[in-house]
Parts: sequence; C-alpha cells; structure tokens
Amino acid sequence: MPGERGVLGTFGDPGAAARAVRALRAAGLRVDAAMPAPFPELVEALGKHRSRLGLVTFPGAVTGLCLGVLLTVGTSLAWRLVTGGKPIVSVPPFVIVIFELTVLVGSLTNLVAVVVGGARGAKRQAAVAAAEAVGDRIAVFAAGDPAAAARLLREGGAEEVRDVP
Amino acid sequence: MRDPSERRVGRRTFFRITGAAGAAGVAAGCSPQAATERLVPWIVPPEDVVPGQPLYYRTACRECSAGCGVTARTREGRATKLEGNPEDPIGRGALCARGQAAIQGLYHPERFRGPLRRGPGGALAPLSWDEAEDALAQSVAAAGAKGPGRVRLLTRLEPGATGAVQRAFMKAAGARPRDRVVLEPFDPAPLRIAARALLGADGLPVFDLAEARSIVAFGADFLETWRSPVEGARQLAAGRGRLGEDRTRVTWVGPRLSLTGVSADRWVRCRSGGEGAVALGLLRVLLDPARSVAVAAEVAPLSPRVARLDPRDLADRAGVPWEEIERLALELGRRRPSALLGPGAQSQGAGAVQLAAVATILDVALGNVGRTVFHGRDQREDVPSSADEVGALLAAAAAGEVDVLLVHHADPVGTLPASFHAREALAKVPLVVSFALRPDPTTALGHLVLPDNHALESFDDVAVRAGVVNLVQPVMTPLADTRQAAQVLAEVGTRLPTPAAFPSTDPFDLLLARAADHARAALGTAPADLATVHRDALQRGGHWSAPPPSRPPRLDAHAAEPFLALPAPAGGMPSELDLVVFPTALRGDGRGADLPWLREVPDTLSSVSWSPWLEVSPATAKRLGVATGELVAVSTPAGRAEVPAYVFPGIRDDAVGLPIGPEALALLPAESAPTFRWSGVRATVARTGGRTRLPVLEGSPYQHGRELVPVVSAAAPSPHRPDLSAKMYPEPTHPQHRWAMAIDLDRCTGCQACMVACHAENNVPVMGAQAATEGRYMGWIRVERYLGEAPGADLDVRLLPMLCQQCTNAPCEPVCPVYATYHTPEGLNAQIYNRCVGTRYCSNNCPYKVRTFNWRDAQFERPLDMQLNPDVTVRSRGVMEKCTFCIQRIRHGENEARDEGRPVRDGEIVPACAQTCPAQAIVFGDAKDPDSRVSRLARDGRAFRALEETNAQPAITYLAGVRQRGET
Amino acid sequence: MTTSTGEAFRSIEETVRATHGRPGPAYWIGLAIAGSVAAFGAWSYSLIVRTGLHWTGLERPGMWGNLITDFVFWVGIAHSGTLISAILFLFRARFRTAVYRIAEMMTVFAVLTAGLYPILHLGRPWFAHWLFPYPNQRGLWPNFRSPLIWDVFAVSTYLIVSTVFLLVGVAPDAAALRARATGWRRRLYGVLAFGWKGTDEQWRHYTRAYLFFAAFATPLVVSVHSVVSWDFAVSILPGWHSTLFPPYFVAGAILSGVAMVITILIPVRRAFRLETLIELRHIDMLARLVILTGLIVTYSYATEILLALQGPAGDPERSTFLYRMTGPYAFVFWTMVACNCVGPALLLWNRVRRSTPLLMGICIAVNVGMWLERFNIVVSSLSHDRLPFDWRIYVPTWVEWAMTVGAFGWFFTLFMIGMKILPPVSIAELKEEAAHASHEGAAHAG
Repeated sequence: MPGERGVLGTFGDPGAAARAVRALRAAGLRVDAAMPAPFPELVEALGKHRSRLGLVTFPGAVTGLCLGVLLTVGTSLAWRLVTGGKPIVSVPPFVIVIFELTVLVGSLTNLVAVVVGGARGAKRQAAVAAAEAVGDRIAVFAAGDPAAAARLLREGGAEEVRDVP
Repeated sequence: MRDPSERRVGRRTFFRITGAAGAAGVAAGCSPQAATERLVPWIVPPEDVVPGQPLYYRTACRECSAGCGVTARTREGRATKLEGNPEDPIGRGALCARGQAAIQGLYHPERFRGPLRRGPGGALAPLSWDEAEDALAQSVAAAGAKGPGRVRLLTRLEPGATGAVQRAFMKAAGARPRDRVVLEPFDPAPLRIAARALLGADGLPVFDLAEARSIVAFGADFLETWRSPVEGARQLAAGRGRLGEDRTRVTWVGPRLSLTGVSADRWVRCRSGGEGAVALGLLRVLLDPARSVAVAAEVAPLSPRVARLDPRDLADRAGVPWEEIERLALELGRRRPSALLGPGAQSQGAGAVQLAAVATILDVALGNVGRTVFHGRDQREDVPSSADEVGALLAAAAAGEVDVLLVHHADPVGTLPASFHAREALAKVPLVVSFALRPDPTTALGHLVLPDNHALESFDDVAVRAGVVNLVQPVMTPLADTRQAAQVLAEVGTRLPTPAAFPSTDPFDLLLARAADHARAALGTAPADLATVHRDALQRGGHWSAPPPSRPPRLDAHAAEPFLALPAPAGGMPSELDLVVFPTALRGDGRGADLPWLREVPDTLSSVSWSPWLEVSPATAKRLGVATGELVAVSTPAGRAEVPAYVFPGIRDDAVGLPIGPEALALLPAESAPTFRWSGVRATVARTGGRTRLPVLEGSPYQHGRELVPVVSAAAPSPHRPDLSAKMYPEPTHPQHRWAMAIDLDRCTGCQACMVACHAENNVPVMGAQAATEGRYMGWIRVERYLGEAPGADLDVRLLPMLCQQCTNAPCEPVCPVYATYHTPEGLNAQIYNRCVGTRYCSNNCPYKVRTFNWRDAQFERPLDMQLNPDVTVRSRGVMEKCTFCIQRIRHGENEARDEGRPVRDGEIVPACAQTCPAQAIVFGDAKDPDSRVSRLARDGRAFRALEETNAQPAITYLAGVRQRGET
Repeated sequence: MTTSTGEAFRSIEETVRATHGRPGPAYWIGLAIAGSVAAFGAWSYSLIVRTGLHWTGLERPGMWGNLITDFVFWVGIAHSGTLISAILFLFRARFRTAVYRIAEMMTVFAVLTAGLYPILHLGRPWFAHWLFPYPNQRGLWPNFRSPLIWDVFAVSTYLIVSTVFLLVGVAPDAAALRARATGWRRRLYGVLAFGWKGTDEQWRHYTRAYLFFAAFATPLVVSVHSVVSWDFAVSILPGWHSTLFPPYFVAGAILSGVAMVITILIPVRRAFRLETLIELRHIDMLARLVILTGLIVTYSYATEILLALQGPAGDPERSTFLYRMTGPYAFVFWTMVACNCVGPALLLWNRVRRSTPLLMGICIAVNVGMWLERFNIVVSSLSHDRLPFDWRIYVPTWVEWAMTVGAFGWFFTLFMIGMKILPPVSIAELKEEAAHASHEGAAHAG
C-alpha cells in the first residue's frame, strides 16, 4: 500500500533473502520483495498465491475463437460464392483461420493482462520498488513494527537496511 | 486533303446504299474518326445506330481466291470482327484464320494514308488525288502512244468488277490482252493444263468431297490452302460423319506430313516428286486386266500402254513399297466415288503436269467425274497467268520495254522466287504504279503509290464459280484518304486519248452495271426491277443459283498417252536433300502473312510462331548434328538461307521442309515452265553452329503414356473413362443454364481459325516474338499437338484444342484468396479481372493450364485499337485471364431471348471459336437441356473429358477421333 | 559469497552492456554491405513495379519461382526462434537460456523478411491489402477456402505473437539496462521496460503470462509451417499434392531455422564477446537438434519418393519425381540431398560437431540445401505438370536473384541493428541461472 511505513533491506544473495523473508513472516510482518529474476526459493518463501492471469487470458482466447467463427462463416454466408464446387461453409479450411484468431486474440489479451497486472503490482508495491532491485540486489520490504523488521533484516544478512519512505 | 467534296465520292455512294441496304445506315453519319472524336452528341441521331448494338454487313473475303462470304460486325461505325456468311454456299458461315485476319489489314498501322509520289530525293511524298491521276493519265497516254506493250498491268486474280475495269482500262491504254498479267503463284496451273489437254475443259475442276468415300491428296493441302479450304474442311467433316464403310477415308501422299495429312487416315510417304509415280502406280493396278477392276470404258484404251510400266520402277520412283500403292489402288477400286486431288504447292515440281493428268485420268476411270469432280464450273471471269507469262512480263521490264507498270495487289518482289529477279526488272521501269494498301517490297520500288481501299471499304463482286457471285460492299467509311483502284482506273481511263467507256467512275455504279448479268444468271431471266434484286443480293451477300448443267467431258485417250511415261528417276547428289516448300493455313501463299494475328498464332504442326523453321527428320538431324533451334544453312543453285531447325518426325529422311516465305523464295529456281515450281528442288543442308531461341509453344510433343487424347476404332468404340461416382460434396446446382461445349476431335483439322477468332472477339493481345520465345503466348485457346507416345515411338499425331474447361469443381477457384474466380450459377468459371491481384495460384492449380497472365501491359498500336471489341474488357498487366465461353455473346443471346419473352433456343448462342469452325467441330449449348445438341453429344459413345481423373468435372466434352489405320 | 552472486549479476549485465558499445569499423562495414545488398534488391523490384513481371523468368506452366521459394525459406528460418524459446521452455531445457534471445530476434526479423515476398510476387502488389479481411465498399470478403488466406492469418499472427513474446522477454532486461543507460537508450529502455520494477507481484504475473505465451506459441509454430505447406499440398499438382507435407515442412523449417541460429551464433558470440554467456555446450545442444530434424527430413524425402515410384508407368506423380531426380533440375535435387541428408548425418560424430568451422560449414550447407529444397518443390513440380505439351523450364532472371539475395541483405541489416539495441541474451534468466549455480556452490561449500 503506497505511503505505508516500513523497513527495506537489500540482499545480494537470494538464499539469504529467502531466509530473512521467512523470519519476517514468522514474526507476523507483511513482506514484499523485488528482485532481478524470479528466484524460486525467494518466491516460495514469500508464499503468495499464484497469479490469476488465466482468468483474463482464457476468455480472451475464447473471444478470438468466436470472432473466427463469425468472420469465416458470417462472411461466406453474406455473399454466397461457390468455389471449386465446395460447400459455402467449408469447415476444415475455416478451422485453420479460427485457430489462428484464437491464438492471436488470446495472446494479445494475455499481453494486456500482464502489462496491467504489472503496473498494478508496481503501484501497490511501490515501497519495495528499489532501483537496484532490477540490477544486482534483492529488496525485501517489511511493513509494521519497523524496529523488529530492521532487526530481523540485519540478522538475515541484509547488506543495507533503511526506512521507507 | 481536308476538302470534303474531294474526299467523298465514296460517301455519296454510301448514302445511296443507305437508302438501299437498310443495314448500311450506320456508315453514313459516323465515320470512325467521328465516332472517336466527336464530342457533341447527335441532335438527330441516325435511326440505324443504336449505341451498343452491333450492325452486320454482308461482304466477301478477298484474302485468297476461294472468295468466301463474310459477315462483318460493326460497332458505332467501325468493323470489329469478320465472320463467315451463313448463307454463302462456299463458307457456310465459316471463315479461315486468314480471312478473319483481313480486318488487321484494314487497321494496319502502316497503311498508306493517301496517294504518294517518289520525289527526286527518292522519298515518297504525298500529293493530291487529282495530281496523282493526272500524272498517271499523262504517263499512260505517253506510253500508249509508243505502241502496244509499253503499259502493263500486274494484278492479283480479279474475277469481278475490278477485273473488268482493268481490262477496259488496258484496252483504252492501247495494251494487248496479254499485257494484263494475273499473278497467282499458288494456282494449281498443272490441273488447268491437264483438264484442257485431256478433257477439253476450261478452268479448274470443282470438287464435292462430301460425296467421296475415298480421298487421295497428292500434296494438295485441301484443308489449309488448296483451292477452297473452308469448303474442303466442311465437306470432309460431312463425309467423316457417315458411319461404317461409307465414312470418308483420306490418304495423304507426300514426303512431308502436312496438317491435311494429320487429318488423313493413311500417309503414303513417297519421296518428293514421287507423287506422279504413285498416281501412275494406282492407274497401273486399276487398269491391270488381271485385277478386273471395273473402270470407265474411255480409259480402257490406255491399259496396254500402262501395262508396260514396271511396278518395280514405279515403286522406285515413288520411294514407297509397291504393296502400299497396290493396296491403295484396290481400295479406290472398291470404295467409290472417290476424289484424287493434286498437285498442290508441295507436289508442284517438274512432274506436276503429269501428276495432274494421271489424277484426272484416275478420276475419269473411277467414275468420279460428275459425282465428286465437276468440270466447267470454275469461274470464267479471270484466269491466272502462267509462270511463262509472268516471266515474260519481267523480262520485258528488265529489257526496258515497259514504260508504265501498274501493280494491283500483287507483290512480285515479295512473293515470287528471288531468281525471277523481279526487283531488278522493276527497277528498270520508269513508272511503277502501286495500288497496295501498305508498304511491301514492291512498293519500295514504286514511283506512284495510289493506295486502294481495303476490301472492307470497297464495292466489288467476286465470281467464285458458276452460279456463285459474292458481293463486296463497304462496311465502314475509309480510314484514310484512299481511293478504290477500280475508281482510279475508271477516272484515269476516261482521261486517256481514246477514253474507255465506263458507265460511271463510281464503284457502286460499276458494280450495279454488272448486277444485271449476275441477276440474269441467277434468275434465268432479266429481273423486273434490278435495284431491288441487287439490294437483296447485297443484304444476302451475293447472287447464288444452282450451277448450270454441263455435259460430262470425255477423255481424249490419245492426248493421255504422253502423260503415261515413266517419270525420271530422282536426280542430284545423294548428299543433297529434297527441299519441300509448303504453305500453311496461317501463311497461305505468303501475301498478308505479316498480319499480327497470323504471326502470333503458333503453327499447329510445329507450334512455331514469328519465325521460319526448317523441318528436319530426327535421323537427318542426328546426321547433321543439329537440334531444334540451331541455325542451319540451306543452299540451292538459286540461293542460300539460314533457318533455325525444327526436328520433326513427320518428314522423310531424304527431305527437309520449309514454310513459304522470304527464306523459301530465296532458294527456289525460276523455271521456264508453264507452271511455277515449288518442289523438286535439291538442297544441301549444313549446320552453321549458330543457334536461336526458336519461339515454340510445345514443351514435350509426346503423351508419355498418359492417354491424354484417346482415339476410338471399330475394335474399341469408346475411350476408357475413370469411375467418378464417389462424391465428397453435393454438386453445385445450376438453376437456369449450365453452359457446356463439345469438341469433335474427329472433325477438328487444326486449322486455327478458332484461335484467330478468339483473338478478334476477346481482345486477346499480340505480345510479339520475344514473348513467344518466353512461352508467354496469350491465346485463350490453343491446339495441343501430340506426335505419339514417347520419343522414337511411331508417329501418331493427335490434336487437342485446349481452352478453359469451365469445370464444375474448378481447382482454380478455391485457391484464389480474393474471389477473383468463382463458379457462376450458369456453370461458368468466371474471372473478374478487377478483383484479381495476381497471385497466379489459379494457373498453378489448373490441370489444363489454360489461364494466361498479363506479364506486361498489352499494346494495341493505333489504329489496330479500333478493332477492339467494345463488349470485352482490355486487361491490364498483373491480372490473370482466360476463356469465358464468350460471356458477352451469352449475355447478348439471353437478353435477346428475354426481350422476346422466350427461352434461349439451342444453337442461338455461339462462341467465336464455334462460330468460325469450318468443320463445325465445336458445339456450344446448355447441358441442362437434355435435348440440346451438346447434351446429346456428351452422351455419345466417343465422349471423353480431358484429364478426367482429376475430377474437375469439365463442361467440355471431347469426342474421340476415329482411327481406321490398317483397315482396308 | 553474497558478493559473488552480485558479482555474477553485475558481470552478466556488463557483458551485455558491452555488446551495445560504440560499434567498430567492422560493424559499420558489415552494416553497409547488408544495407546496399538490400537496396539493390529493392531497386530490382522497382523494375517489376514499373513495367510488370515480365522481368522474371516465370512462364506458363510455372507461375511461381524464386520469390515464393524465398517466402517459404524465410518462414522456415523463422521457426527455430519460437521453437527454442517456447517449446524448449515448456520442456524446461536449460540450455535454451543462453541462446533463445538471439533466436527470437532472428525469428521476428525472418518473418519480417518472409512476409514481404508473397506481396512482392503479386501481379498487382498495390492491391495486397485486399487479402486482409476488412469491411470494404466492394462488399467482398476474402475467400477463406484459399490457402493463401490461411497464410495471411498464420504469418501475421505469427509475426505479432513472436514480436510480443520477444518484447515481453526483454522487459526485465530493459529495466536492468535502463539503470545505467543515458540519452535515447534510457528513454527506449524505459518504454521497453513497461514500468518494470521487479516486485514479486510483477514477477508472479510475469512468469504466469510467460507460460501462457509459450503455450500459445507452441501450437502456433506447428500451425504456421503446416499452413505454408498447405499452399502446395492443397493443390492438385503432381509433386505438391501430398498429405506428408505438414510434418515434412515443419521438420524442414526447424532444421533450417536451427542451422541458421548456429550460423549466426558462432560469429556473433565471438564478435560481441559473449563466449562466457553463450558457451560451446549450448551450441552443441543445437547441433543435436540439427541432427534430429535432419533425420526427419531425410525420412520424408525417402517416403515421398518411394510412394511416388509405386505409381504405374504413365502416372504423372511418378513422372514428376523421376523428372526431379533426372531432369534438368537434377543438380538442384542432388545438391539438396547432399546438404540436408548427408550434412546433418555427419554431425553424429562428436569430433565433427565439436569443430566450430566444420559445424559452421555444415550449417551453411544446410541453409543452402533448404533453399534448394523449396525451389525444387515449387519449380520442378510446376514445370512438369499434367499436360506434356505445356512443359517448360523456369530459369530465374537476374532480377529474381537480386531480390533473393536482397532478402539476406534486409535480414542482416535488421539483425545488426537489433544487436545494438536489444540485449542478445536474457539477463534475468541468466541471473537466475547464476544464483542457482552459486547456491549449489554454497551448498557444497557449507
């Protein structure tokens, strides 16, 4: 939450960060983290639920599928031109177009989803978004009881601990 | 030249016939220039002109001496297409390739725009008609004053008003009859001589091949150029239509398989010049008492003389086994009546007169005279001069004995063998006057050029034969400031010291003056009101009547004796080859062979266009070490020529074939004989090492075991067809019509009239030689020619006219991304040019490869663009195009029917190709109507479809050709 | 130890940043050559636009030639990228990490090349937009039964998806590079980073989305070249009409694509000092892919030919294949066999595979061979169709060759520019790898 007071510690090593995070969470503190790469142990330590991106992407794909059906079948019926003695609605060829549209719209919604989701994440976790966290450091932010958080971070081997904001 | 009174004597006559022949109205108000240039609309439009509606005129073809009737279609005052005149007894509505191309002579970009005189600088400069005619009158008067022979006239065959005017003019000019020389190099003069000598008959015999059960053609290409090819093709088709023993059987005798030979059932491969020996051999067998073949009594006296001929000698002279001659003779004895045709250009050598004589005797012996061969029916108006007379004229010219030489549609420099030295001779003449339409080698030597009107701008009549006079009338106002030659001669003639007496100088009156005789001949009596009769004749196209009965001529046995000697053996070095010079359906005798369509359309047999070629048999090619496209040097005593070789199994190993043209003319000798000599010349042939990309259309001439063009025989009456009963989808339905076509391969002679008709009707562009070498011929219909199964296999030529098959399951349609081609409710495979983006997938997927692509923008050089059919789009570059079954004609027919509130009649709608087919091999109609001709033909036992196994369901049904090879 | 991980991270970033340094003369010369080759190709094409396709050697019956061959070839090249990044991602093949970014760049640029050629070969290219479905005054929509329309959809979808895939992968790296970038680079990376902060929520969405992209891309890869193969297989032309084509083409595409990746990686890792990140073992794994696909392609050739030869004597199919092997195009056929069947087979020997020059040579040979394969399929079938009377031989003109070579110029121009802008390896994933490694190191140490 923006403007929330807390302590930020930076680590060089994902393992250490993970241990610190576990300690902080054991102490009942809410923890956010920022890192240059999705280190599995750290993500695991944070123990947050999985992203629900699929809830957006899947309907997107389905929309693409419907669009495909509408486009192929609809336009063929709108002006019935016989080619090669084949039926006006020739399913097999249409399936190809429908598939392509499913993939296209699906991945585009997926893109929108990840961009929006990412922006919201950045906003909600503005506190932890430290510059070096995209580079070579891992930032761990703990909200609530600053003193305890700072102590635990130092014990966890944080290279640097500072209050934010 | 802008003075209207100056320009339009012809126009007044137009008004006159406007009154007379109602149809002609259009020509009055709108000359083509007006049609294209006038911006102000008519206030009172001429009532005959319905914009968008075609107007038809009847006239006659002047491209060769056959004189077929013509129906000219005009639109907004300009002729757009020539078709046959269905009422005309010669063509019966058909017109050959050359006849249709005549319209390109009308619109030829190089046509003279007005009279020209060669100035001191040697360049031709325009002058007025008055000046020109005065100049001519003075020179003729001056020359005539010096005595006879100073004024000469060299003309093409003019059996009509023009000829009459010429004779009257020459008389007035003080010339002798023989000072008017008729140049018709390909006239079968030997036949005249023989008929005269043996039967005392004048003129050439007229043939009715429909009745003949056997036809033997001694080098007479009666389906291409000989006598009346359109008529020949129709009559043969009729005879071929009879089934069983009565079916006409054709034998081709000659060293080279001509297109006519392709239609024959048997090819007697005699050596060049051996035709006479073959004919004698036939006579020898037929008159052999041991054979006891019934022959006409008047021939009987000849049998002892003939019996003296040794079969072995004859076989040796002929170059074919005696048994073959024997078999043919016995067949002729059994199958009557028959017709023996010859000689043609390809057999017109030293022995031509003997060949003609023996053929005539055979006709008498077999009782053909009066059944298939008729004497005394030839036209009497005009007779071609002999080679001697032509030679004499040129000699006189060379000797400086000619002051004025009038050249009327004859091109001695360009169409006579170079060894006649016409160029040098004409150079000696002080005044050469040419009436040519456009520059040719002779006009290059002309001092005064008085361009004649094109036949489509003229009044004239053509006496084709007894009882047939076809009338020539203008179908549009002259394009340029030209004047009809007859009129010029008449006008000049009246200014001579001893004026010629002409009824008028107006071509229309000159024609009308003759109408009385024609009418009398036709009706038997003098007509009450000539004007009406004449008008009807003009609208109909001619004066026609049953030929007058002529008593059958009797054979003079004594006169026959000298023709029965054993022909001389083949002379010359063994290293030399016989040179066979042959005309083709497109080139004719060489005149007008430069018309774009005739050059663009590939020759059926060689598939070569835009170039001469030397036919060399595979064995000879191997010996000379040449392949198709390599240049070979051909030399004779008369000259030398370099021609690309074309390896062709249809020619003897001891001969080479060369189509008529400058190259051939350079090689031929000038014989001091009564007849021109086209064959029997020995030539040395050697490879030069050079090579060209010969423009051939063919890829592989072999069927490679694919059974593409099946044939049927008594043994196997139907071609094998695959079982296509299994269906994947319901067939598309055709609510009203399903247009379809049937092509009878037994009738098709490969004459290519259909190809030219398609060019004319559908604005198919001429792309030129370069495009031809690149295989980019744009024609919508082509004649595929297969020589046999595989290289080296025995020669079995089969023709397959290939055009869009308008398939029900057209493979070209589903692959088009933009619906540029689709299946119409009337069953047509439509091609919408302005939708096409040019992916060319349709052509890749077309099993028949009948789609042509516009690789570049087509050029229609002015005024050739005036011929374009306004009902058909001119396609732009980058789009695909193909045969449409002449959709514009289909729509026209449907609209006519709708206006009259009736269904479309079967046979009412006819595509251009079907319309002009001399053999009526192409039938078009509605496949939904079970009684239509096309449906009935589709059920015929001979029916098959091209590449049927692809299941494209074509709308075109082919009827397999019938083979009776070997059967006797 | 903590520092060591950070060191590793920093060194990765440094190596990558180094590739973006001021280009040397070699780079400029290379770029100039590529650019001018592309320009010449473009000029040659302008001739066709001006006066028509008569500049080509095309003639009935062969209406397709070099340009379509180029299209199929470049679509094929475009396949390895998505294969390596998506399919190997799903298979959790670790070696992909080092090489997939370059492969993806290659994919996008190859599609950009391939997409041009169907348009360039049109008779009326200025109407190319008619192939796309949009409401128009003609009331006419494209014909969805036409394989060419499938192409339009497949290729444009493929272009969009693979571009998105590339950019999404780049986002975290862009954020990383942005930190110390200046001027336009800073702005550019700012945009490419999509406001990337690397917070755990972002990473959770990101990893999930990446999985979905991979899931979409994988069937797409397979579909695209199947569709391209249907351009031929759907027709009824002997030599084209074959149900074998889709798998055959996909395998061929991957073969040519991977070969191209190797062809590019070998010089690039040297020129851009990436030896530490793109190691020989990575390339070795790719070489093994070449072997696999090469064997599949060989199998396809054999099947196709053997089936065709079953036909009766007069069978057009049989005739076409005999024509390929013995006719005027025989040299094309046999060169193709040598390059695509023998070449990859040689890689079975470790010594061959490990020797960089040999590997390079074989991969180039495979690319030549794959171009010839497409030429062989397109041209030899067309010039020997059902009616022997129409058979004609197609020979490309200099204009077509100029356009064919121009394609390479265009591709390498794009690629060289791309190398100077985009990170040639995935920084984030390498960091993950590095952390993993050091972690294990720690485990052993501890």
